[in-house]
Amino acid sequence: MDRKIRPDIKTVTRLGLTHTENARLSNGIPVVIMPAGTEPVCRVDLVFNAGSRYQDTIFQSSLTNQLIPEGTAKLTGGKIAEEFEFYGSYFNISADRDEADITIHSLEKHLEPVLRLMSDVLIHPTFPEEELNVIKANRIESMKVDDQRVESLARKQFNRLIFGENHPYGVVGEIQDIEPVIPAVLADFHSRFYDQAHCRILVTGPHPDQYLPLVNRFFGENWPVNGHPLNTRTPELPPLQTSQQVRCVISRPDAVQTAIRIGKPLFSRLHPDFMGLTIVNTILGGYFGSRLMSNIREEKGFTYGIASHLITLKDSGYFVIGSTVGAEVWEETVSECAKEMNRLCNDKVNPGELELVRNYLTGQVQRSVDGPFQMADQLRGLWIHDLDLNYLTDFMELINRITPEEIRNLAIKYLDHSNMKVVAAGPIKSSD
Amino acid sequence: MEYTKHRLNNGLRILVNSDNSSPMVAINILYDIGARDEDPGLTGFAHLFEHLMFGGSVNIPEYDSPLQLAGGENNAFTNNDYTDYHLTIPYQNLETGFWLESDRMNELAFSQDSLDVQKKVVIEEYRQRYLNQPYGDAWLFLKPLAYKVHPYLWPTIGKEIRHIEEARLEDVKNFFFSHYAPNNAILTLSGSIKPDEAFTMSEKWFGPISSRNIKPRNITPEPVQTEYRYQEVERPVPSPAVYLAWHMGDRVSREYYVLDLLSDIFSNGMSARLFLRVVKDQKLFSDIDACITGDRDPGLFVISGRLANGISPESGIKAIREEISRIIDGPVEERELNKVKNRAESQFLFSNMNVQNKAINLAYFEWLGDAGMISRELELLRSVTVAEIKETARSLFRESNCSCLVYRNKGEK
Repeated sequence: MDRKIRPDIKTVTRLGLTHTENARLSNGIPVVIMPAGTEPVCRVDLVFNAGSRYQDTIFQSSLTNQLIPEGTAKLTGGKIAEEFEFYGSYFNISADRDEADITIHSLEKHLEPVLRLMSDVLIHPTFPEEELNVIKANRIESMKVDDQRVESLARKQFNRLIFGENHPYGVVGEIQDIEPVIPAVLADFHSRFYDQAHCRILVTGPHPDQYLPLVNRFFGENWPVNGHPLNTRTPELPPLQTSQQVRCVISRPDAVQTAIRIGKPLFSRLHPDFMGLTIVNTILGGYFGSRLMSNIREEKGFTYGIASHLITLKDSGYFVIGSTVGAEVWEETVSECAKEMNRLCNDKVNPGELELVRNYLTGQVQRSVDGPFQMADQLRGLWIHDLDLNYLTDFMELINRITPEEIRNLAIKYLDHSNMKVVAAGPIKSSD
Repeated sequence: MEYTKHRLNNGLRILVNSDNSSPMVAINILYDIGARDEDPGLTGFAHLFEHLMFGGSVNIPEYDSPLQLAGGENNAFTNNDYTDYHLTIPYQNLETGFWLESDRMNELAFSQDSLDVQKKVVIEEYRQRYLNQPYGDAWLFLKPLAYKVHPYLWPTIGKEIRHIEEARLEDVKNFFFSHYAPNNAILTLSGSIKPDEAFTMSEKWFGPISSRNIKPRNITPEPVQTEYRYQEVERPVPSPAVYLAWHMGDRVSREYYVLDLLSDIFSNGMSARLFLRVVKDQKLFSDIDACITGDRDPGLFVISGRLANGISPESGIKAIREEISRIIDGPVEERELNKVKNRAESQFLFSNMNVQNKAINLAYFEWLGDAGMISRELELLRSVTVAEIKETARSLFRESNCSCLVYRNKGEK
């Protein structure tokens, strides 16, 4: 055996996907059932078109979401949490720019009481003022902490530059925006967006036959339609108001490092170039062996980590490179990033690197659907564009087909750094 | 979790969990070397070394590229007690994983360049995680307050940046040959692989590596604390914070299981006592947490919280003490104990649902003494009684067993 010789490597092209079933509850809510897993546990995702882009008041969307489990006519927030926890279940809420989620992970044997409680919590929340005040005060405290982190200062400013600070995707909440939120504001948002017309349900677990009748009992029969036509089209997004400003430096003399963000507005996953650009992005900064990591971490030791991302929203998206680097090397890092983008535009990627990225990405796609809840996460991410897991099969196919030429053309089209925004937050003198 | 175990002649232990529901295989190697084994003058070394394990081995110039070429992905972590390397790879390319892992156990490349760069990377990691975050350095104060002798007094990243800067290539070599060896490691696999196949491949790739003389562990136990310890630091943070730590038993003691559940009663979930009482009702804290460090040697039970606007650390500490008295002298209902037991049970199920976690857990329990402990963990938790919780709390929360760190915001008082 010669240890210098690598074992043969096989390229994997097949993806084992589970077959999902589509159904509707008696009140019309679309449901997807995904048979997956072997352990007696399941997960139910209730997804609402109720993200921050639809709100009239800053924090309306996220506080409505957060206050839903804080009280019903009969139960206090503490008692609701105690019931979920007693059944060993995990109740989670989250809200982003497009959607808001209510998710439960449950042991199969307790699914019935857990769904009964979940349905009561979702349909009859009372938004108690007392609980809202506690949550507001604690949110303010954690925002004060966040505002001391250069990463979050850079992220917020970058977002404003990309979308425009008054655009539904660009609005960034600040501490003073929390105070005016009152229970009526949340109850109003709940009545308009947490209804059948804005809802989809995903159920994942090993015994799919058992789930639909239960879900229908608690979220179908139990939940009369409130008058909104089903699947109302959501309001159109206004055009982006991307700032003219190219470079923005935030001075924090106390900081030990500088956080940087470099990027530009792009498009959502539905754009025909999105898939290909995902591969280009992987080469640039999308994995541990990427060009940015090799150059800026492994060769220069400027940072613990650097990565680039394609962020996709429902109706827009952007490209961003992010890192936190030694204070004295932030400008050099920015110019090295530019160099790496130039290199992608000027030179075709060599076959060795492309083969590596192909195989790495194929492995990533396989890993991304390995396990029932990972699969649910993938579907959850694709849903917003009315896509399903077949998207991943198409992606696998493109990964194995894309040519060095196509990669360079995509880089030329989208990675011209001369029109990118640069934000830096750190111990930088304001004269910089 | 089912597994089959085998030991090679060089001392390497191998455990395999077959799971055909996954197209991937996870490989995990745990080395029995952590920050507690470091020289007090050269702390942070085990973690720095973990970075160097990716700088190429004697026959393979680069670790990451061939793994990525095979569709694999990997990571690693170092803690007080051990260092863990794990990867997942499509079954078809499993042998590449064996090739890579066995060569870096065989011998590293030991390059000065790699050392120089990784020192810089680790220093940036130190800054990013500990110095450039509000409250990021609290544990750098809390640990040496609670431990005076035992090496848990320094953090895994190192006592100070200087120790990382001073690491020499010679130290790296010595460290490798005295700690990285088949007889100081546990190899676990989980995924679409049969035990026999895994054992044959292990024999082929790891079998030829000779066992090595492991530097004997020589740790002075921490003497019993006899007086209350208190320290204040001042930082430009938005609000003050408090950290209270009490010495507790080691990872395999009965006390560990009792206190694991007690920490859940205090702070696991939105219906936990500390959250309901001191955050929601009394509005003294904006955030609070109780945890156990879970180290192999006797560890710490820690309650930490950030105070709400305008509340003094002293009122916060007083409220925490009242909650402790309510455990010792007040009622603890069976339902409350059952709630945290149920939650522990489902957490356990959820944490064993993918091959990577299974391989990591299998190695961890084998390292603790016996992988069979995995299936006994839940029974042990289930057997804890209300009386035990109260008794253990009474002996744990003695004033003389407590270290208190108060983190004041500049300008306060």
